[in-house]
Amino acid sequence: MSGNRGTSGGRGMTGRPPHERRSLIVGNPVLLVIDVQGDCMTSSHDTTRNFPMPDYSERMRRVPSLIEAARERGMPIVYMQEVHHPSRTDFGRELDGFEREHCLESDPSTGIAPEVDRRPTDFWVRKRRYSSFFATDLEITLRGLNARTLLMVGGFTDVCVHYTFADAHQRDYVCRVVEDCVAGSTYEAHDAALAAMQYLQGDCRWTRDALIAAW
Amino acid sequence: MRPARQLIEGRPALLLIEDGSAVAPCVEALLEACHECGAPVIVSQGVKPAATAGMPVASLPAALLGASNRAGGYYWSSRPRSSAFFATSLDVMLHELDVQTLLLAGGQTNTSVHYTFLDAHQHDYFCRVIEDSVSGSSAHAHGAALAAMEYMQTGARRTSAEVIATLSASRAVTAA
Repeated sequence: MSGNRGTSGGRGMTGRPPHERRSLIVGNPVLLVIDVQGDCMTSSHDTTRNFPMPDYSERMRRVPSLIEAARERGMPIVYMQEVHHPSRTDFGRELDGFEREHCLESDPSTGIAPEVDRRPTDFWVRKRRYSSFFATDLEITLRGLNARTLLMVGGFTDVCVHYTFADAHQRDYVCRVVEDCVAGSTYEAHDAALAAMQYLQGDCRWTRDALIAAW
Repeated sequence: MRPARQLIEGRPALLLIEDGSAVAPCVEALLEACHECGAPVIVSQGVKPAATAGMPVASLPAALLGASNRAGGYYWSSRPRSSAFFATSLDVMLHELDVQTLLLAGGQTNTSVHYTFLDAHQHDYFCRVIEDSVSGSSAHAHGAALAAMEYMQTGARRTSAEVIATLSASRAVTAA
């Protein structure tokens, strides 16, 4: 198993050499499926705008097989779903930037993607901001599961995935991002977000196949 | 088209992110401008709780302390992680001060600044980052983080000169 190695950071206080890869999973793992909603696995996007990444759907189509592999190993699966009230009262500042209105609870395409085999035994947490931790039940769920490692997939790499990763990092979780199962608003933003996550935890970047082979 | 937002909406505060690195030269003029228009200044100081057990409270860099004293005082908040909001009372402080716009200065662009901006955004504040007061771990990481902040709030990226001019104009309006 090779995979990506960290390229940033010096020898920390733990004495761990900067490029030594930690084991993939430390303590109990959880698969966090972030905002895999609606027609994200089938829709064709407007490539002239390069928003989101042209291969967004292709990347999301890798997610169900990862969920299946996690289930076979008894790994808990948590689905995050971004929702907003039809009255638009809960958008906060989210429409002051690049994003347009999205994920209204009254819109059927706000549901978890139909290609995902979501079971009643899985966990399902709704969120109204970018980070999966912001004013949600996620932390209670993770504490109950005694989770230490979070494996993250979904979108956008540069928004909800990056900001969930940053919050998980601040809460001292071991964070792994499956880079061929995440997609961003643009390639440039996707790459920059992966680099930012790697800056926080040098050994965080994995591919689906490397991850399945290693766990 | 949505209407363009102002640089400052409602009451502003300057949030200085202190992380032990050199204070940018423009910070002193920003502090002076805040003092003149009555905008609160808050220093968020990075402190590792476990590393400070039994130690005196870490002191601020002389440049920041001296400038802040001349600017008529400041509010102080210690920060155990990257974001100035994470496990701190900053949000409560901002509510008490009735602040709506946060002007971010100082700190590492791609960590403390980016993640503080993110949390301020998620807490519904108007956020502006003063580009010439922050620096990244690399030029690329600096640029990517600024682009990500602009993605969240159009018009987020500002220079100290623009911010100082706007603060001065608000003082003129108040005085009139």
